[in-house]
Amino acid sequence: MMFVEFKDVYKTYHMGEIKITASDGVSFSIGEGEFALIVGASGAGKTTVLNILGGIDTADSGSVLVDGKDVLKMNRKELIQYRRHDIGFVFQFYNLMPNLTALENIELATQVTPKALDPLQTLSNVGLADRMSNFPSQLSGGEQQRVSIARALAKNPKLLLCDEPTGALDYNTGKSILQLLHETCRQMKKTVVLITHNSMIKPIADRIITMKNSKVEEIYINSNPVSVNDVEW
Amino acid sequence: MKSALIKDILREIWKSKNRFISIMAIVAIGTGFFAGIKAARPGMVETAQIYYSDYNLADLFIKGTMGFTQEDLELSLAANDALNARLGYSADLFFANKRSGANEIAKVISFDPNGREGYLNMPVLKDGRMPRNKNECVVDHLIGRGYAIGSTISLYLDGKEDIEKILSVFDFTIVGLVSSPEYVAFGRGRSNIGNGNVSAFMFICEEAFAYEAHTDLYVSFATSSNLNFYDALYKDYMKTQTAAFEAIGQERSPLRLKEIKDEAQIEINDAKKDLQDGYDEYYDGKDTFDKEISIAQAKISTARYELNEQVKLLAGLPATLAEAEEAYAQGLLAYQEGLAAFEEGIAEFEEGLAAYQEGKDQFEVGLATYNEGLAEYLENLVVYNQGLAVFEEEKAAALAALAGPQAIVAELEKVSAMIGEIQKLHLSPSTEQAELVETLASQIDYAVLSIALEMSTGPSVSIDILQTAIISAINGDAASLGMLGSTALMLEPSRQSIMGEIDAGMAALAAAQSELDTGKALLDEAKSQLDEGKKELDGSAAQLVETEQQLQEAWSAIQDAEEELVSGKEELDAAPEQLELLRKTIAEAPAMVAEAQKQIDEGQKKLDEERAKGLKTLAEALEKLEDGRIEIADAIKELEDLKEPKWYVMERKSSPGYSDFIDDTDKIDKVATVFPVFFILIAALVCSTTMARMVEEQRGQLGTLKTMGYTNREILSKYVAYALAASLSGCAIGLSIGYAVLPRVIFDAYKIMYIYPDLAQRVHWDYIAYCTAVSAIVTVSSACSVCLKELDSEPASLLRPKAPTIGSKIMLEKITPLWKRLGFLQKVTARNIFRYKKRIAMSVVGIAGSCALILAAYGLRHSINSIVERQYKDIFVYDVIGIFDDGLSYEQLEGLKKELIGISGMEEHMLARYAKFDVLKNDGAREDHFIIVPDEPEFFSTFIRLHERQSKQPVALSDEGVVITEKLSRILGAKEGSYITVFEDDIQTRVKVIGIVENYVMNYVYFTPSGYSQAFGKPAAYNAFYAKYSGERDRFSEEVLKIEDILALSFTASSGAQFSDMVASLSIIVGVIIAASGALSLVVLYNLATINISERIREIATIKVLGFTDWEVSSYINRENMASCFIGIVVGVLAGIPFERFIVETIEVNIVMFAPDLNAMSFVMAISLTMLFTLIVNIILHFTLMNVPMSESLKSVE
Repeated sequence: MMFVEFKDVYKTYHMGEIKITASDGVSFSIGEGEFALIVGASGAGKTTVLNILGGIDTADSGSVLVDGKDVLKMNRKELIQYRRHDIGFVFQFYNLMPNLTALENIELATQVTPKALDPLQTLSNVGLADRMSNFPSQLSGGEQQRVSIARALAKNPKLLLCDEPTGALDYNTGKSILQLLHETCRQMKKTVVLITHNSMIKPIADRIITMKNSKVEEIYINSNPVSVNDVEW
Repeated sequence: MKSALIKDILREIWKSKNRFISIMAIVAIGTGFFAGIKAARPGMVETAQIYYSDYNLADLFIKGTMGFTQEDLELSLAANDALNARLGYSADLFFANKRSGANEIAKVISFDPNGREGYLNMPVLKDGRMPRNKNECVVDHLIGRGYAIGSTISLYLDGKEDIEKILSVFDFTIVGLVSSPEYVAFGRGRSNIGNGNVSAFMFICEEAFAYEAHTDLYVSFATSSNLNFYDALYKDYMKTQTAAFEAIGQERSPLRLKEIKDEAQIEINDAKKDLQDGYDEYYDGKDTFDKEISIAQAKISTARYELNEQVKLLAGLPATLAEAEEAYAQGLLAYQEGLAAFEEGIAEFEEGLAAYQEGKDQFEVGLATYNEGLAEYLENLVVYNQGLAVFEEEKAAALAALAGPQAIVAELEKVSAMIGEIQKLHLSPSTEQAELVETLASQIDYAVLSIALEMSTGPSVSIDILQTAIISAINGDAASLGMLGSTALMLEPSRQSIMGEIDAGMAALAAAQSELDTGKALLDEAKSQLDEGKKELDGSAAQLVETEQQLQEAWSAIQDAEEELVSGKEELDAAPEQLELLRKTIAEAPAMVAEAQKQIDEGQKKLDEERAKGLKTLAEALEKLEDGRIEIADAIKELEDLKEPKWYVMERKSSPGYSDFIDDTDKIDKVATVFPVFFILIAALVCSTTMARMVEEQRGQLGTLKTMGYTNREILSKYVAYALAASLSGCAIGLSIGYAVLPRVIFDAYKIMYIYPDLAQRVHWDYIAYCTAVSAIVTVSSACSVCLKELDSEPASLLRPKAPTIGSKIMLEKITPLWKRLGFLQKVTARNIFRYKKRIAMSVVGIAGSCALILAAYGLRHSINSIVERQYKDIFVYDVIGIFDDGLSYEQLEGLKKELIGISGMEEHMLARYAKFDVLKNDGAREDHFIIVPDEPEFFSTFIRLHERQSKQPVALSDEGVVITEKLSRILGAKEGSYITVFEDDIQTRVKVIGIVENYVMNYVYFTPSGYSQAFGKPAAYNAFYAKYSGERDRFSEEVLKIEDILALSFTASSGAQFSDMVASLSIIVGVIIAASGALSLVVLYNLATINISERIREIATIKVLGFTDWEVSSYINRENMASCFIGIVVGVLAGIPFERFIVETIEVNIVMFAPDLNAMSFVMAISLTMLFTLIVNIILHFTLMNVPMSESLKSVE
């Protein structure tokens, strides 16, 4: 059994009288330690998949197995525990607490997780040990995203979910962030699911799931992933 | 406005309904509370105004020392602007309290049942009907139990004034219960009789008054009916009218005096005449009296003589009784003897009677036998005579008959004998013989022929044979001779038979003869016997007649005896009864005599009494006459001395409660100004924050609209419309609820102290407009100002997300030891508080505001409620104060004291002067307060504890000056050592204040007795006593009120209860404030917290994604709320203390001091309620937070 198994997941949003089908029978699986990409255009249903996988949204039917547990069958409390212990989330807009320093932002996550890593260590791992006392507003976007990644990793999650982590960054910064993610996860043997609309970075992933119109269009397993440095976009 | 914009606004409202509703709610609470409380006063005074005009409350009430005449009335009606006027009577009289029997004072007012429309001071009928005749009355509906409709009320005066001069009827049937526009409070004013405390009013028909002239004059004015009675305009107008009527009074004064003098002169003349008549009558009466008394005395003497006679008579009775008893016994004996004799006589008589009867019977029998015998004799005689006749006949016949036979027989015998001779001859045959035989045979033949002839009837045959034989025999034939022998023999039987026959006949004749002879003898014997019997009978008949006569005589004797016996018996039978009677008479005689004696004695006594009474009456009459003479003399003198009458012109404000009500409504108005302004301030603050937040949230939209070319005004209009919609709907809700509920609640609360009809409420458009305008301006202007500020910037910058508030280190972090100690999340909270300074400040203000309001409200309630406890338990430690007549002499007071000591359960008591007196205020007006002069000031603390409020340091009374109560010191602005001016009985004096003591209800000035006499130049007239007692109150009260001079008792316990009833009304207002404060703080907190969440929704979503539990999320946000709550409470408490002081001082009335200190409970309540509200909001927020979608975290920063 794969580490992550998405099976026939359906999800429909009701916006007043309008129904929006966000997941139309999505099925895929991701192995443990894999660096998986979910690629698709805007509105292809990537984020819905990620939300369901992260336990921050629910599906109407199907099953989502993560490490053998069905996320869709979890109740509110179990979902919280799931997010707390098993999931690390990297946001497109970093979502750092503006009122906390870099280190404190990491501590905010580690406070609630017993198996968490050392915040400072994690911060130095992302190369920001010297900025630990800086508030987000004193950091550049790339730096903020690094703090965000450090925050996600510091929880020592089973699964790292990244929502367009480079979407708000310029090319170089984005690339370096992507590299950081890629390398760190490889190094820490984290299972990573990253959604992006940028199909140029497909080669770096172990598994590429292409989505279109709320459906999985293609699942491609890349047996020879390359380093981030080797791709251009 | 573009329709797209309208749609946009409506959508906006729907989308942000929470925000919209919270603005609406804040506006509603603010305006509703403000308008509701603000409307209370106008509603109340309008109710009063309507009430006064509905029942025609007079503008002026005038009392004249010598009454009014029609002329006065006409002058009043003719006065400038006068609308209506009428005359009336009134008097203060006593009636007995049905429960305690104590004298209570009633204000008795006249009522004209035929009063026209517009009758001034019309009573307000509550139940029953108005009086129709002089025996009926209507009473104050508050008069209390015992005076229900149908019961009677008796009025009296205790001798001070002749009640007959006032009333013609004293007992009235209650036909209705009324209130009066003159009496709007529960006080009924003061009086100059009794304890001076009028406890009820009542209306009776004018004709029940006996006054010579009307005592009251009521006037109303045309202008005043168009003025609001509580306005200064009315007050000013009335000032001029009062002056005008005082002038009329002065003008009328000498005229009235002359009138009275003239009338009085006539009366005096009449009185003089009456006096003379009285003297005449007196002397007549005296004569009659003497006569009657002597007659009565004579009657008694006669009775006494008669009694003595009677007694004598009675003394002889026992002897008479003995005699009678003996006589009776003897009589009884004699009777019994007589009875026996009588019975014996009866028996004898009966025996005699029986013998007589027997004799009579025998006689009868004898007579009958005799008669029978006689009859028989006569019969027998007849028979005998007949027999004799028959016998004679028969004898003759028989003799005749026998003659034949005898001849035959003789023939026969001759035949037989010739036969025998023949036969013999035959035997010797001869011729002689044969000639003899022939003769014999012829003879025989003859014999035989005769026999045959004879025997024709006899033995003819034999004769025939014989004859044949004889013929044969003669013929001689021997054989015939044998045959003749045989025939002769044969003839023998015949001869024998005939012989027998003849013998028999002869015998029979003889027998008959003898029989007859026997019969004759018998008859003769019978005859002699009869004759003898007859003789005997005649004898016994004579005897019987004699005996009968004797018997009859005996019978009448017996009857006489019986009669005698019966009457004797009757007499005897009657005798025991008579004896009994006699005995009884003897037995009862002493009692009877005693009774008679007693009656005579009583008669004497009565007579003596009557005589004494009569003498007394006469003496009194004489005295009265003398008095009358003196009186007339006095009256003449008095008349000469008569002063000019005076008019006392009183305005409405002199009616009890009239001004107090206006003052009290002013208090509400002050509350209505102070509290709601606070409310509106908070509401405005919160609304502006909310609107600002809304605009800030939508700056992107603003920018977009701006880039699309919309003008600022167009863009602004959306927010203006939103704000207007929220505030207007909030106003509508708030005003409608506030108006409907609050004035009513407040007025109802005030009705505990006042008697008014139900609230007559008018819609106050001015307040509505005012409230609506203020709330609209506040919300719209805050929306506009934020909006305009944003719109000032370039559209581009608007489109860019607003830079997030910069995180920064806070001051606290520099205090490293403290900072280190804080938990991570605490640090976060601390930083956030400083980061969102503005919003937190807003929360703090909101929370502090409601906390202060609640504190003030509770404090106010405590200030009011604790009065009772403090005043009536801590300060007034006496149990009862009793009021007695003013002006008792020293001896009377001593006597009273003794009587008080004698009351069972009386523990301590002290005489005192306790009265109302005037104190001069700084503005020159006089205000009445109480003066207390205890008899023994050094022990007075047993009854009233005089001490300084804060230090509780006792204050001693001293001759140097007076001790005044705290509130009075504030009214007068007096301090220790300053001087105040007081009036007692119009004596004005200045006294030094030597102490200020704690006191809450009423204001008192305490003097020592010598301090008093120094101040007023006369000793204090004691008219009250303070006492402590043990045991049951009713019994104590009853016992004390039995003391003649005691007029009334007032128990501390019931005064306390009364006062707490009175202040209960304010508690309701306080309750309203508390409720409104609570609602406001809830809404404010919720609103601010919602803003907090909406501002930080991203942050919240993120921490949720990070795996924070619901609790952790709530505490992350609510920690800030709690912190602002704590800060708010601290600020609120600090602000609340002076605020409460301010409120208390604003609301306080002159006669009551509210406890100025805040109690711990008020703080506890304010703090805990504020915390409770925070908690409630936090709980609501917890659920709001739970529902924050995590997908918010994924959105781009706006």
